[in-house]
Amino acid sequence: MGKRIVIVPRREFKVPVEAEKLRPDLLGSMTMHEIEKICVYEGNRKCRLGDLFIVREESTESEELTVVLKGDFSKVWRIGESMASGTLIIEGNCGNFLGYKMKGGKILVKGNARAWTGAEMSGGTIEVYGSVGDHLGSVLRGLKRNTGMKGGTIIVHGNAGAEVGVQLQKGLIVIHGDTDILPGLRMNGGTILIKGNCRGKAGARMTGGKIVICGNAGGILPTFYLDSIVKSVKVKKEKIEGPFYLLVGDVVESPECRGRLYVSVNRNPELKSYEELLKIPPEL
Amino acid sequence: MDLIIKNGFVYDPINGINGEVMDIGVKGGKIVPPEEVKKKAKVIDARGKIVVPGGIDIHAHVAGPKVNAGRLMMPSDHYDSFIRLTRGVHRSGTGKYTPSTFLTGYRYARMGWTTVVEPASPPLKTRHTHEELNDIPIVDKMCFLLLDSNRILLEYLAEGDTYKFKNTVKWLLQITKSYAIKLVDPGVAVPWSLGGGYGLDIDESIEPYGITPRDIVVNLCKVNTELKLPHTIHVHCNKLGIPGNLSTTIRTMESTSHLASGELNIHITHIQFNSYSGESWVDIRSGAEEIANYVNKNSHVSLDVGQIDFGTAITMTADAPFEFALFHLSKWKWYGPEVENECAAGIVPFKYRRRNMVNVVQWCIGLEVMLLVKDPWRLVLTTDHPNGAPFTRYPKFIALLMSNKYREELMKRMSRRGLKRCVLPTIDREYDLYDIVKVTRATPAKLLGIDKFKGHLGIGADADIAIYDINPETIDFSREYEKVKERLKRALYTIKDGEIVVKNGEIVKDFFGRTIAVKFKEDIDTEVIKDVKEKFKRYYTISFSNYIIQEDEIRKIAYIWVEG
Repeated sequence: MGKRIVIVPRREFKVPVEAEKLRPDLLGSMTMHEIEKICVYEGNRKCRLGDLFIVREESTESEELTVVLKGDFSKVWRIGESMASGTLIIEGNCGNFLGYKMKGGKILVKGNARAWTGAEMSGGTIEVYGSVGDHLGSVLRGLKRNTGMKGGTIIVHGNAGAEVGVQLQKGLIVIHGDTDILPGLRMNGGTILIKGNCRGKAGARMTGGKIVICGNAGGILPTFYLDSIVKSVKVKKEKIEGPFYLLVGDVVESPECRGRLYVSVNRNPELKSYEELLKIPPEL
Repeated sequence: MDLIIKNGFVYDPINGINGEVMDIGVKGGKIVPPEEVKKKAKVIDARGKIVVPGGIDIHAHVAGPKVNAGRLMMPSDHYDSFIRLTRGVHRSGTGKYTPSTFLTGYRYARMGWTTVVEPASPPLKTRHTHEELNDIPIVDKMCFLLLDSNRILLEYLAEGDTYKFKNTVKWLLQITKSYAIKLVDPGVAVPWSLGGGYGLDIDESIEPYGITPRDIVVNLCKVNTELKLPHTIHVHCNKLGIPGNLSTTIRTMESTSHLASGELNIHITHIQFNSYSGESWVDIRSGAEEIANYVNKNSHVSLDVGQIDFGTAITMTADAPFEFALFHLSKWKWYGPEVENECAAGIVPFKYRRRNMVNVVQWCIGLEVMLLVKDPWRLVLTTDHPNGAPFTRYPKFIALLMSNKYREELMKRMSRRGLKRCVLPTIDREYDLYDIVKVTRATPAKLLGIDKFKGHLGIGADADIAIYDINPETIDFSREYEKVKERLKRALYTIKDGEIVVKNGEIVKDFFGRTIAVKFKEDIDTEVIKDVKEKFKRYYTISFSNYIIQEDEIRKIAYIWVEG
């Protein structure tokens, strides 16, 4: 028999609540009394977790420790920061910085998430059934080129905002819906799979990794070369049927062109003119 | 507030007090004999603690447009490091390498430092510098004026009109409410703005003026002596950061030796960046010995070191071509502004690495200079904040100077290739507390010419006092370096102008210090100013009257009257 901690907000929050200690591996080792005494900030006001949330313990059949957040958490930031194990289920919307610097475990969101979801994470899984805001799996502003998301998986069943996977180093981001501009900005490794459309500028300044766009790509940056047309792409053992244009780049960032950008042929008729570049001139 | 500090070990090199147990009385923000203080005065028991004057940082970029640009460039600096507001006591602030103005003041005070100098402010941007200095709490501050590439001055110099040159310098110092003359890579902004300028040597001609950096240094040195300014010229030498710049530095020091008759007349700043011998990055070697030899033989030069520490730093200097070169080494970020007719600058965040041969040589040079120069009255410990390291590393460097064991401990983890090029592993000199107080307090006060009221604990001095929880009788400085470092990081008490501002390492009171500026007793020739005004109309984008900084723009000003 395992235990299950359920947390419900007492009221609607008007200002952001910084609750970086809402993480299963930390809550699991605490008693109910200790959990209620955790320090959180509501705006600039310091208060206890018990003042803002109702915390109760339930017993379940599953062995693994589970934390369930029920209700509207869209003003609660930094949930699951640096968590290393356990399962966190959010039955509702959640706020910015969900799973920031997460190392392991699992987060399930049965609603929408906001910006910076899974920023700088290095392991574990985040699954969002709704949509997410900007900077999904990104790096915070101003950090060096070798920092960023270092591993783990993010799956979004809805849409994502702009700048998905900035400076992505390793790991997988899957978006079943559409994205805004600049997915894979400055990315250096890992994979981004976009099953819907993208608004453009995919893979700007990328130096490595793989971006697959199954829908309309919204145009291709002039700094990418068309390499070939491939029939299908493999993303983590899953075979995605194409055909796809395989483009390499970004040549502005590195002349080796290690970045790979796969764009669906059928959904991008405006790229038809690119195909002429693949023909070998007759005099050669 | 009346105070009496009882039974502390007092270190005060200017008055020759070396660790004597004494009482110090404070009344009306000044130091008075202990018997003059009322019986009701607050007593601080400093038994078994050291009592020293408040620290003086002679070279730290803490204010001005380039610091602001550094803040904008490093967002990561601000979400990593911050302090929260404590209502009624102190304000909040962010930043580690380029802290916000409030945090700058609090950090200095917590460490026991009470005076800070912003060393490079172009005249046109000095209004911004003063705006930021106004907002730095607790500490006293001053700014140096950047004059080496000022086109109006260079024109007078090319014409050979020394009278107009002198009066323009005087006028600029007067209207900008600044303190001394700063030269950064003399004359380099002129060729840089025309598309060249990397590695301008001291005897190369600056086109189209046809003068050399040597002329600029020598003439400004002469003017400095004629105007009887309290500080000497503050020189950042040519070819900074380029291997083989040792000879340039020596020649810069020599260039003013004939003008000196026993007194100081040139201050070479962040010498560490200017003492690389060898010809390229591959065969770079430490030139600290040559520098130390010259300084030990000649009495007209004073130095500050500009020690680096491993980790992130933000280099910011008015040496624009050097920063452009550094940007290509670091491949991260670069900001390269230009100030109309006055200077060009550059800002590049940089990371010094323990395993990098060149960085290890740089680290060693700073300490070598500190240990090889014999006269501590001409030597100041600085980090050239934030170029070498943030100013919060001073306790670490003090511990390094006082403990050979600590140096050996750190050198174990460094690049061997780098250490082979230095003499630091063979030096075993250790500073004592008296010398440390000299290089961080007494010497900077003397060099800045404010030793009448700062940098010592004699009668009549400003009551800027730091008390640290270190007992010199029981502690072994060369072995317990970690303890020394921790105790110096947070002062037990910092007293500024007779008020207790820090207690047990926490800020307890917040107020604003003074901005110190020079004021001339003699009037400036109005004919010369008319001529400057003519040139100004032709060259500048702003109107002449907006160039002049009024007294009411500065929160609290304190003038130092100058004869010239």
